[in-house]
Amino acid sequence: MRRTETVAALVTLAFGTFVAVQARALEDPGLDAIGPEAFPMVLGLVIAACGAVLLAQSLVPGRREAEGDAEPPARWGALAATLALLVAYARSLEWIGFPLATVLFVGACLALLGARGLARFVVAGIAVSLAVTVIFGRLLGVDLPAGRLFGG
Amino acid sequence: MDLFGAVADGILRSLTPAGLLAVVVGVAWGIVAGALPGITASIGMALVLPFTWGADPDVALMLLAGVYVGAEYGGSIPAILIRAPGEPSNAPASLDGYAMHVRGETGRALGFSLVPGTIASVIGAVAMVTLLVPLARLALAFGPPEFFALAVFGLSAVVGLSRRSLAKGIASAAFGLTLAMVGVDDLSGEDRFTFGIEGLVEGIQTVPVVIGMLALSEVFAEIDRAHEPQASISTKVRTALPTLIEYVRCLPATLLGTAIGIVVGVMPGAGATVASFLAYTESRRISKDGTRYGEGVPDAIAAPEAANNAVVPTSMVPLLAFGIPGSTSAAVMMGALIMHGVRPGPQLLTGQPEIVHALFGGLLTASVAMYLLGRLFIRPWIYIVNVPKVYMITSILVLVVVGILGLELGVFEVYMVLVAGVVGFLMQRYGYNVVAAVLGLVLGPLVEQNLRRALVMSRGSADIFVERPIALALLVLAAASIAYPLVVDRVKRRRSP
Repeated sequence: MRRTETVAALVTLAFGTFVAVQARALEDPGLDAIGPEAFPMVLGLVIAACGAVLLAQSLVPGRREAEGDAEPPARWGALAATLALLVAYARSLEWIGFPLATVLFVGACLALLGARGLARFVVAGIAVSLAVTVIFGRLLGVDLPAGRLFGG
Repeated sequence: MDLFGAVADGILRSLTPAGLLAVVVGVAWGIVAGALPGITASIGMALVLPFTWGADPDVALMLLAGVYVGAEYGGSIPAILIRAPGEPSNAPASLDGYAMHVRGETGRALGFSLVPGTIASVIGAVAMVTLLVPLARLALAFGPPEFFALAVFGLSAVVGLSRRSLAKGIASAAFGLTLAMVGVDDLSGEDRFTFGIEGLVEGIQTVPVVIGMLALSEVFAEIDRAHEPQASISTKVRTALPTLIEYVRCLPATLLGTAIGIVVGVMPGAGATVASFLAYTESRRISKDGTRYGEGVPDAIAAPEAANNAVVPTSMVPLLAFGIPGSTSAAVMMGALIMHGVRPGPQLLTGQPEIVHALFGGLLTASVAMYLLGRLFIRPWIYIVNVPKVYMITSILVLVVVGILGLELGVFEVYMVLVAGVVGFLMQRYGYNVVAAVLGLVLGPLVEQNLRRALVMSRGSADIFVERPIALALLVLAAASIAYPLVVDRVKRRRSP
């Protein structure tokens, strides 16, 4: 728990410093009282200062630890896979079209998240795809890609 | 236009076919979203936001108003049935509601949430319009220093609620403000933080980031928890509702809850959860059953459920009167207004009063729709809570993607939603304040431009914020809302060694 806190603090500190340095590099055309660089620079410094405070809190042993609500480790694998699936879904829309891509996405997503039964994946996939196509595509007029494969 | 005219205009607008459809669909989706764990009112609103693209702004607002109203009731369904509130603001109702359900009085428990919620919602909508007129008049006297101070106050009120770490709360708000700086600076024409990426020149679009940070991040969090066993609810429950006399008996608690909700709703940062907890503890004092709170008494459900519904309309007041959203839901509403080319703020009431009337009418019609839908379909809503989580997650992911397609954004924005989702999830997991970041993004341009305009007025002197009493008062309030939790924390620690 403490180590993740230190990492979070360092990320905050680094991000703040990065913002401040980037803002400093901006040119001030000198038209107004303060230029376009001033406010972002303040923000960067505020974030960096928060990072420094967090770093100190994570390194100094003290009361914070007692509160330590240790979270279970995240299921990074499942999360990364879902993200990859979403990207694949978004990319495939253009090629195989919304209806087919949705059937595949729903099936794959259910399998990934631990639902059981191939028949269910297929039924759920077709049901969701059909419902969305009718409700959003037909009734609400969302432009759902038909897919180049099908001449869309 | 006088108050009566405004009310009449609002109601007529919401009774057009398009308006009525928007309200009913909004409320139905709101009840579903509210009942689903993790999907809060603001997330439910963010998910349907893209589909308002192409609709008239007043129809869009009525849809979102419907979602917001419905969600506050929907959240009490799992609170009562499985003691797991669908929204944080339904937590108090889970205490006595669940106790009542265990006794076999499920229908009564739901009724004591639905009817007081409806009453509060109607009174709240009237309070919204009544408060709006004088406040908007006040806001017309505001200059850049006041708007800057007000935006800072709105932001710090949310930061002050960061339970886990104040430093992380401040960093989150500053992060959101930084995101708002990306793109061409309006005043000087300079490119900021674009790093040569074409998609960033126009700035970071609010709607994709709001959907990503609020909604997608929560779906990721649900995936993270998806392996946890899900309580299944028996749908064989008694749905007998309370009698009219019983409703009348808890009218004092209902009205107290409503009053608390109205007051808390107007204040930025506080919101429905604070209101419902306050209503629970305060109604205990006036209730005849005060000593039996927790055992399943009507007042203990009616008061907090009235409070969270009363917050819905009044939390729109800071947004409509000043253009400063005081809550996440108001921030989503602001996103919708901007998407439809409507600039919220004091000019709205005089320039485009029909927008405000439509929102009012939508809220009022939504209250009635909530009552009817809640009353007619008690069992179907219970089935929804039983839908396995993986199906819910998958459907919402499809909805997010369809939403992005609906907005007709480019590929770049699709990735923006995904990135925002990942960032939001990481922030949430490591104790940062996603709400503060979203609010920062929405308020960013307001904060910076008003700061710069104020400094132009004063020729660069920061004294202008001290010399103008309203600006000074707001900045003091902002500092206090951050310092107050710190002080309370310290006092508590000293008392309990």
